[in-house]
Amino acid sequence: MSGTGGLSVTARGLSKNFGPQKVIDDLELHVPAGQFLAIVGRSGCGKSTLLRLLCGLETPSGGAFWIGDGGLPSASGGVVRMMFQEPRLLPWVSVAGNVQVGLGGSRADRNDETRVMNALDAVGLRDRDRAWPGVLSGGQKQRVALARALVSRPRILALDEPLGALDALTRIEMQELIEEVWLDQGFTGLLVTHDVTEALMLADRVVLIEHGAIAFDLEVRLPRPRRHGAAEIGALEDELLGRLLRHRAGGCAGGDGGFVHRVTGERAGGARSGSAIRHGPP
Amino acid sequence: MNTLVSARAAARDRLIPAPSSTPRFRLGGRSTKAISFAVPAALLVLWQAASSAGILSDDILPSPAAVVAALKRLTLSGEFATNVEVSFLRAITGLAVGGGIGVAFGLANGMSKLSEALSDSTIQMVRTIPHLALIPLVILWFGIDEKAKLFLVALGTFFPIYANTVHGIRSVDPQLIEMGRSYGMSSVTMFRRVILPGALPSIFVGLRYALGIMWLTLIVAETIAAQSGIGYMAMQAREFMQTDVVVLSILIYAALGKLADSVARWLEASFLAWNPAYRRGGAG
Repeated sequence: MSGTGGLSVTARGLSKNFGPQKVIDDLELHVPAGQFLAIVGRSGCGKSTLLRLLCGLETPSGGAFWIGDGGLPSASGGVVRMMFQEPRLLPWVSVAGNVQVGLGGSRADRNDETRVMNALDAVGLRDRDRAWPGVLSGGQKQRVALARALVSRPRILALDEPLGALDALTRIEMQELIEEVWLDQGFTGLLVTHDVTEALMLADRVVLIEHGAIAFDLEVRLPRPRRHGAAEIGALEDELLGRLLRHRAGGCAGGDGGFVHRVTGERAGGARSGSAIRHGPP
Repeated sequence: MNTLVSARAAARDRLIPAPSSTPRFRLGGRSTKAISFAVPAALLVLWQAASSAGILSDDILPSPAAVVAALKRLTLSGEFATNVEVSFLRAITGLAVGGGIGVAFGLANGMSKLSEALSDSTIQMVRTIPHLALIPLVILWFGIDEKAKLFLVALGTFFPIYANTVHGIRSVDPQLIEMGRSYGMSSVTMFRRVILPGALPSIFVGLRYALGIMWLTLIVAETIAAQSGIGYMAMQAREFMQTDVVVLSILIYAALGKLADSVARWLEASFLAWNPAYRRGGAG
């Protein structure tokens, strides 16, 4: 059983190739225990792969992730939990049963039942425990997925664009909910997102990944709860976006998806250039 | 002008009913049910009337009343119960054997590449043989004994259940499997909670196909080589020109087929209650 509070996450010389393509390239990262880190970057820059490596869904081609000061290898049982972009609920199992999946064990005892109900309570869905996932709205499904991720009290929570498919209002509600549970449980959070505003609303620190390495590292020292549309956030947002767009101007835009920003609606395209300019550590 | 104004007022006060999700021309559940029963009932009345009026000869097609009389006669003599029981047991046993083997091979070949390489192409080759073409061979092997019928039913029901089980397992959402992996599910748990339930709708489709093949096989096998059963009863009746018993046998097959289908539907509704497409009584 996991304790409370977060564990630090360290990546040393982490690399991942898919065939000839280097998705993560000698990446160094240290996330202190309990920090909420947001990872931004263009589509195809390797940010989702980073989380998948952390959760053990991919094996690194080089280097490793280390968890905690004792240097636990990553993906050791129940310490890291992942929340995906899709809710990925089992449609044939009730809401409570889906949360139960997060406890790992196949048999439920009374203690588990209480934990499941507490987790559902935390996401405001206590009264829907017997419902089929099919009847829930998109936001409610993602809440169940959050409850499933949190029910085992993970020390590290990896969030892979979990709010990307939600409408704007539901998304803000979910951001508040995630912040609330993070403040309450103190896990280490790693959030991958396309949305610079979302990153700045939630994170203590934002890193920008480009060509499989960290290109920019920004501390966000703003008091919580943060207010949408606050001037300080706007300023940081400009800085981050400026950074991203500078990279495009420099001719090293990666991938084809483009970076979508809600406020400006800016969409960057551009093909991968042969002579990439690398910012940050080589 | 006046109506327009009042319509506006009504709209403002939300008096106009919002367009409902079910189109206006759709009939309610009760009336469609009544109609779906009324048509066969009308056909039955027409049939009886044609027989009574002498348009339809009893040698060609006996009247419904004559068929009912035959049913009564055979029930009293005990022949009816015996033959129906024999046929029913053959059908169920054959299905259990064929379907069981089909599910087992389907699960194995859906999940294991090695198992698939070993047996799939062989099964696909055997599948191209119409199983009823084996009847002469089966009679040589087993005589006209129970085994012959069981073998044919089992063989016929094996293929649809096998193919749909493999398909069902292949179509389980890989994202769910990945989720299970990231939550540390053991392979047993993964099978029980993710793969099997995911494949179940497809396995049921296979079962419904198999039920049709089950009765078809049994009818053919019983008419050609049997000493009991509904098909045997029909062939005996043909010898003595008892058209009413022949028609009765056909109707019993139809009734048993319908019963099997209803049971399969009921199973679907109970096992797949999570799926809106199978849920009884609409959305819950």
